[in-house]
Amino acid sequence: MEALGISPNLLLTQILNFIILFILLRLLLYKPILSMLDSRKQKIQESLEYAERVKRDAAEQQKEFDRKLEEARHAAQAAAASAAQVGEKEREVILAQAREEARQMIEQAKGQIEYERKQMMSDLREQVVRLSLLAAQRVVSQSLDDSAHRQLVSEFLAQTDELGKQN
Amino acid sequence: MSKTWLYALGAIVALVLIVAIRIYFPFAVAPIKVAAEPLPGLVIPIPGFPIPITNSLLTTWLTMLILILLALWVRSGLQSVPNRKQNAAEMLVEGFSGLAEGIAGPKWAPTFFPIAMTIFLFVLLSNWLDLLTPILAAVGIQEQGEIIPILRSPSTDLNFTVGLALISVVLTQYYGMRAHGWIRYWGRFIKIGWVGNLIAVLTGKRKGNPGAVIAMGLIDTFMGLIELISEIAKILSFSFRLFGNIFAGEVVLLVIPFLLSFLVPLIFMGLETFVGLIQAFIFAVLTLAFMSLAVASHGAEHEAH
Repeated sequence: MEALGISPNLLLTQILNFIILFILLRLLLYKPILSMLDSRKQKIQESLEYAERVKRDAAEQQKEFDRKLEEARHAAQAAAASAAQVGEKEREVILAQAREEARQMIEQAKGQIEYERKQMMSDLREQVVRLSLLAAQRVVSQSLDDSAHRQLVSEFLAQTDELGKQN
Repeated sequence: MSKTWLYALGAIVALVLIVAIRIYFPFAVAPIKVAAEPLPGLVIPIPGFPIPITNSLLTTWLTMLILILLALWVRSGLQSVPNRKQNAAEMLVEGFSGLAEGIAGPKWAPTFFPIAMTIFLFVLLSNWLDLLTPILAAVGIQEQGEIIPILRSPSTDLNFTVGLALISVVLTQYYGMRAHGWIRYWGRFIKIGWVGNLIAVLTGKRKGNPGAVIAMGLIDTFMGLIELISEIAKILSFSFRLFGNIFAGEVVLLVIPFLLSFLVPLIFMGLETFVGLIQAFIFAVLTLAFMSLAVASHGAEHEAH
C-alpha cells in the first residue's frame, strides 16, 4: 500500500472530493439542463398541440366560410328569381292594363261608330221623308190635302221603321 | 498573404522554437513514480488526520474547479432556444441520461445517472489532463536533487481510482439493498438456505437423499462466496484498470519524446486522448451496469467484466 501511494487519509479526501463534485455538478449542471430539456419538451408538445388546434380551427372556419358562401349564393339566386317573378308580374299587369285600355278604346270607338250610324240613319230617314214628301207632293199635290197626306206618309214610315228594325 | 500561409509560417516558427529550446535548454524530467509525490511543506493539519497535499490531489482540485467553472459557464446562458455551448452540454447530459435509462430502466435512471455522469466527467477531464504530462512533468519543485512535479493527473494516483471504485462498489451494494431489502440482497452471497432443507430431509419431513442435498448445498454456498469475492474484486478491477491505462499512457508520453522527438509523440497523444475517453466511459458505464444488476430482480445474476 505504501509503495503504491495509497494512504487512508488521501483516499478519504478523494472520496470527499467526489462527493463534493457530485453535489455541485448535480446542482449546477444536471438539474438545470434536465429541467430545461423537460420544459422545452413540454413547450414543443404544447406548440404542436396548439398548431394542431389552429389547423383544426382553420379547417372549421373554412367549412363555415364555404357554407356561408353557399348560403349567400342561394340567397342571391332566390333574390334574382323573385325579382324576375316580380318583373314578370309587373309586365303582365301592364299588359293587362294596356289590353284593357285598348279594349275600352275599341269599345268607345265602336259606340261612337254606332251612334254616328244611328245619327246618320235618322238623318237619312228624315231626308228620305222630306224627299218622298216632296216627290209625293209633286205627284199628288192636288189629290190629297195636307193632313191626309201626312197620315199616309207616317204609315209608310212606320212600315219602313218596322222593316228597318227587322233588318 | 492568405490565412493558410500565416498558419504555415506560425507552425514553422513554433517548430524551430521547439528545436532551439530542446538544444539550448535541455531540461530534466521528474522520475516516474507510482505513488503521487506530496508537495513539500504542504499539509492540511487536521489533528490525527493530517492530509499531505500531493501533486495529484492538487490536480484533483484543479479538475473539480474546471468542471464547476464549466458547469457555471453552461448554466449562466441557459435558455429555451439553445446556443452552441448549451447544445453541446445538453447533448452530453441527454446522451448520458438516455444511456442510463437504457441500462437501468426508467425507475432507477434518475438516481444512477448523476453518479455515472459525475464519474465520467471527473475521470475524463482527469485523463485528459494526463495529456499534458510531458509539460507537467517538467514543471516542479526541486527537492533533494529531484524534481517533484506540481501537477499530476489524478487518474495516475491510486488514491483517486480506488476512491472512485469504492464509491462505485459501495453505492452498488447500497442500492441493491435498498431495492431488495438487506436480507434478500445479502442472500445472494451467503447461501445457507439448504441447511433448512437438509434438516427437513433428516427429520423425515421431506423425501430426498441427504448426501445430494449436502453436495448441492455446498456448491450453492461456494457459488455465493465467489459472488461475494467478485463483488469485492470489482474495487480492484475498477481502480487498477483506470490507473493502469492512464499511468501507462503517461509513461509512454514521457518516454516517446526521448526516442523520437517530432510528430511521433503526436500519434501517441491521439491514442491517449482516445484511451482517456474510453476509460472514463468504461468506468461510468460499468458503474451503471453493476448498479442496474444489483437492483434488478433475481435471475439476471452477474456479468463478466
